[in-house]
Amino acid sequence: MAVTQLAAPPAPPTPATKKSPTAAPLALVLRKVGTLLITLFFASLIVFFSRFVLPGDPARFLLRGRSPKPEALAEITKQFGLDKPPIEQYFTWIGGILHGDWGRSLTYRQSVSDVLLNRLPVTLELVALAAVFITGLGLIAGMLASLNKGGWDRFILITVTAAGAIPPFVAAIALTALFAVQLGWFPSFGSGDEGPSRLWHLTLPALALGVTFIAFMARVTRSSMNEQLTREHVEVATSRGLTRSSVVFRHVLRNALGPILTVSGVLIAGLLVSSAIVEQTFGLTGIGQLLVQSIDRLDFAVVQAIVMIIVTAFVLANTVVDLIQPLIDPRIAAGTESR
Amino acid sequence: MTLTGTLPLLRTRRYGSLLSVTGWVAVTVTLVVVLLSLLAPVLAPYDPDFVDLSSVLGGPSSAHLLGTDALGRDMLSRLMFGGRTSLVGPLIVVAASTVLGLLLGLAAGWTDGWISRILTRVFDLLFAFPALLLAMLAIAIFGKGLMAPILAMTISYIPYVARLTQQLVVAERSRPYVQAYRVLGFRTPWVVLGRVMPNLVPTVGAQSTLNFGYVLADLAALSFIGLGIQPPTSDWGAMIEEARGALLGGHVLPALLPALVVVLIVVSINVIGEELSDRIGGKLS
Amino acid sequence: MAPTRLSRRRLGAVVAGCSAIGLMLSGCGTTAGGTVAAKFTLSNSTPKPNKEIDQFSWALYAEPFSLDYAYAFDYPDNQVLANMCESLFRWNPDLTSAPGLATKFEHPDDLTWVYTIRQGVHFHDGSLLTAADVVASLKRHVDEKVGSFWASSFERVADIQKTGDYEVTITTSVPDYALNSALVGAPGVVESAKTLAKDGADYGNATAGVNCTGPFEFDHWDAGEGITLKRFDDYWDPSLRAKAKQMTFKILPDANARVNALQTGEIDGSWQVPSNALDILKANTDAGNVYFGNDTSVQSLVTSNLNGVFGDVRVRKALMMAINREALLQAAEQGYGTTTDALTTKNVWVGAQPSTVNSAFESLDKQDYNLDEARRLIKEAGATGKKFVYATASLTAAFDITSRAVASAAREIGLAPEIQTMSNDKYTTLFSDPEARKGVDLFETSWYLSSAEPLEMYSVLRTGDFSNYGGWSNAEYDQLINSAVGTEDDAERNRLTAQAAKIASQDVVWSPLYETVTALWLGKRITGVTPSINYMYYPWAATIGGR
Repeated sequence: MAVTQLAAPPAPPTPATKKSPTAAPLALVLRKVGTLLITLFFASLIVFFSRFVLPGDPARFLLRGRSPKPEALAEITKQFGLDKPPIEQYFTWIGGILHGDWGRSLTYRQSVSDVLLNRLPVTLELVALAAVFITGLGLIAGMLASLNKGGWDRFILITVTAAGAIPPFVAAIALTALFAVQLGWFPSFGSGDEGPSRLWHLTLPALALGVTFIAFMARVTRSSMNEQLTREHVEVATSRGLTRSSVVFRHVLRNALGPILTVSGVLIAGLLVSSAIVEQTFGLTGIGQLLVQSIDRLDFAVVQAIVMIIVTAFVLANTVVDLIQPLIDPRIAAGTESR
Repeated sequence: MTLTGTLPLLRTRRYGSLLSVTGWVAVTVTLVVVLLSLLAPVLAPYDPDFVDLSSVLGGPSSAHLLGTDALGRDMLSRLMFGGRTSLVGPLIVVAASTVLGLLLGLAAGWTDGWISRILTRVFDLLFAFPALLLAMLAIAIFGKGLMAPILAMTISYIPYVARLTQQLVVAERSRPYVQAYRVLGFRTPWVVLGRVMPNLVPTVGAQSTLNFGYVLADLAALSFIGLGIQPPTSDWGAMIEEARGALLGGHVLPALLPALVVVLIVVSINVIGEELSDRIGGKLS
Repeated sequence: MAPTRLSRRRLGAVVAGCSAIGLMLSGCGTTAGGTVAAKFTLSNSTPKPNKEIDQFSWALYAEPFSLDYAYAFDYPDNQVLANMCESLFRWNPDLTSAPGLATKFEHPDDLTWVYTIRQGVHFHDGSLLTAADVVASLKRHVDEKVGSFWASSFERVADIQKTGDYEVTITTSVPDYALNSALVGAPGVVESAKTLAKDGADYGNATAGVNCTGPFEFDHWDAGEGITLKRFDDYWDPSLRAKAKQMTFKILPDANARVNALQTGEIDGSWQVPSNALDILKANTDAGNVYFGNDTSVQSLVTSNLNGVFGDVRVRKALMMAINREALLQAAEQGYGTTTDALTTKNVWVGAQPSTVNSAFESLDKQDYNLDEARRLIKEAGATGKKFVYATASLTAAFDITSRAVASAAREIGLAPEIQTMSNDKYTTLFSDPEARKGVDLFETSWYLSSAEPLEMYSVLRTGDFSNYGGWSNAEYDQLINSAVGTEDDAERNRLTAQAAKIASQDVVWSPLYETVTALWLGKRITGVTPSINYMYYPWAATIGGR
């Protein structure tokens, strides 16, 4: 997963949108939510109308790879409303989504929402666990590197650079070969039952999923903390006799959290996409694997639904992070601090 | 890692060497891999698709420097030819997205009116789609192979380049030298393309170098799960996937070698890209 | 008739003679049946279980498309379904048949078959099985709206009638002696008529499941994850009462994940063990055991376009000669199989005379590995440089390896192959949709028979048959097959079939590569099942218990 996704450069202020630093928080929240909804609306347009990019009979497109028997054609036409104008089809689709009807899966011959909801928990848990590893291990590694100049710093930097270049699928194979088959410490596949078994089963997949981001998180933490460490207020605090750890946690880390947070929020949504690959390798039935499978099996209704979900999660996470940022760092709200 | 809006110092003077030792090592590695791939038709010892069922899964030998895979195909030749496919995809994506991103970013940053606003909104919208996801959606529509993901990823990466360019252009606009040109009556397109643009290219270029690594990893992942390049075309991601059967039997080389090459290239590109970004951005890490 | 006996050949001498280079030469035995050492011995049984167990798990390499017997046409679907739904006859491990839900049949005249239905059999919901259920179940195969994949078995059926509470009569339009053999499998499955009516189009999907008569009943199907069955205590046959209270099929498409799970004991057993893992698994006797058994599968190349470069029989012969089948068997299946020139395996010729079996196998046209001769034939046919499209899918590692090897062989003799890799699902449509086959010249198949009747294979190559993918047509062949179908005497029927087989091999209609063998993994917790392809239709899971 491209790590640049995580740090979209902020929009430069255009004259029309210059706001006073003391804009009412409520107005801010409403504005953000408004942007969220508009983005989602346009995103849904893209997802829905992407199908129309290809010329030709839409029914045949949707039934690709399956024999187009008259009954199948009729059912597809009815389900997607193919005999109606595209705009109406869009509204039927959107309306359906808001009501929980996401269409019918051609592969499973069940409603898409059933198929999806069965698999959502595993993916959410996987992503959550990966996020824990990323923030935990990443923060620690970054802090260690930043606070221990010299040997440790170089070592961590090198390790982390190398680790960051290991694609999730390579990490997955390597981790399984070592920890599951060779050492037998972890299971090699499956998601286990709810509870501690689930946690145990998801450890290796979460690590494989997170390895690239752990590296990234470590570096962001490190450079962010480095930047803070050179700031005046840290020198002041140190010279006032505060203990190192106190300085680190209350002054450096807190201010460094800004960029770290920006990255974390979007991280979680971005992980959803990479989870497809990890889920496939570890035999986890999550929505990532379902996405790959549905693309392979040309089950377009499912593909549409999953893409929509991921985009929504992505945009939502972005918005939440935007809203929380000012709380963590009031200077951002005041517009005096760049992210 | 974002860059703040300060401008490259390259137009003045270099401070010592452009890259560190590690950086130059990375450049060497990258050049070697690229050269070997480019010259594969000339240098490769075997036809990468030549099946030799009698030398299946052989280790390194005088006949096969890096051994053979489950079909007796020479690993070295496959890696070299694989580079052609694996490197060309990211190259197209990065080149196209950089050029288009620069142009759109210039348009967005230089103008003030509705063009700029609309472009900014479009960039916002595209940011909502992770590149890999857009690639998968494109594959769902256009079918498997390289075309769909390349197209999709180019579109996904344009906003990153464009937004960065926009930032830089906005900052540049107010600089004295630009004002000077305008006061002196130089035409806008000439100022923009002839004077401003060259100052942006290093910064944007550094970022694009980084993007190359990410795109390569993503495309390899797509080939690995079977949605990208289809075997038997040699491509590093597809090779790793094909080699999983051999892994079962305890033969690691066919999977390990392409994996190593991918990691090596991505690390090298990342190192180069980041050093360049840091240097050009005026900060040393 | 005794099943195939495959004794261990002398491994040592052959290995010495077959150095890596040596395998390229034809001196290492590339004849049909193979004189090369077999890496495996067939087993007739596994140790009997000494106790009952609560549950066990089984690996599936793909998720069944449906549990509806009319669409159960592949390994995953059938191996699951066989434990829940039963047919009129049972297919034994040695491929002979025995009474199942039909206790006997009578054949008063050429066109009439009367089946006596077993009494006292209950469906999983408790209702009693009667002739009405049999009729409703069988009729679905001839119903166009259902579109059963097994419809061709009923091609010659004119009518299916209930002629008594426990009697069903099938009338055929012409004499058909192949029908009965088919009734051991999916064509003969009996489901409750009420369930069929109630579930309609949802029958057999993940929520509806099935309501049959077998020793296990459907418990639940977690789409994408697995299917759980539980013991049916009212099963009619005490000798096949399930020795486990519950069993779960776990769906794991990833071969590595599957093998890992078998080795760590997370999954107890599996059919279709990936061949590249067999050596490692055989060695891992702490974790479990590998067994080999009867298989009726032949890996072949199907010529699906006789209007292109493969229209000339010389080209078809040449391609066969360019493939070193022994080496291919080693590379694709690690030697777990036997090269062959026949489209069937010997074990389905139950009821044939030895001399017939001989002519059906030994005296077939053999296309031995000979690159020079192959190149000469291609030149003679003027096919040098001609292109063709080879469709394949990554169904198994063997498919991938075979496609690459065949393409490489084709290039070596001067042809220009183009490999088209399809998704697994699209590949499956090649077998049922003529549209899908457009533009495809060659594809491979692992064709298995679902009955001990060679006609099941050879009738497919008649003019106009549904699975005659290349549209091959030979009047003499058609005539032989059609007479065979109408011949009552087993020996005579097989003799006619053998003659037809010879014609098919002379014309290289399909190109047989090698036979595979059924591989079974039993983890150390379980034992009891006999390794045999009959697992597709016989309630094999009921024989599994603890050790």
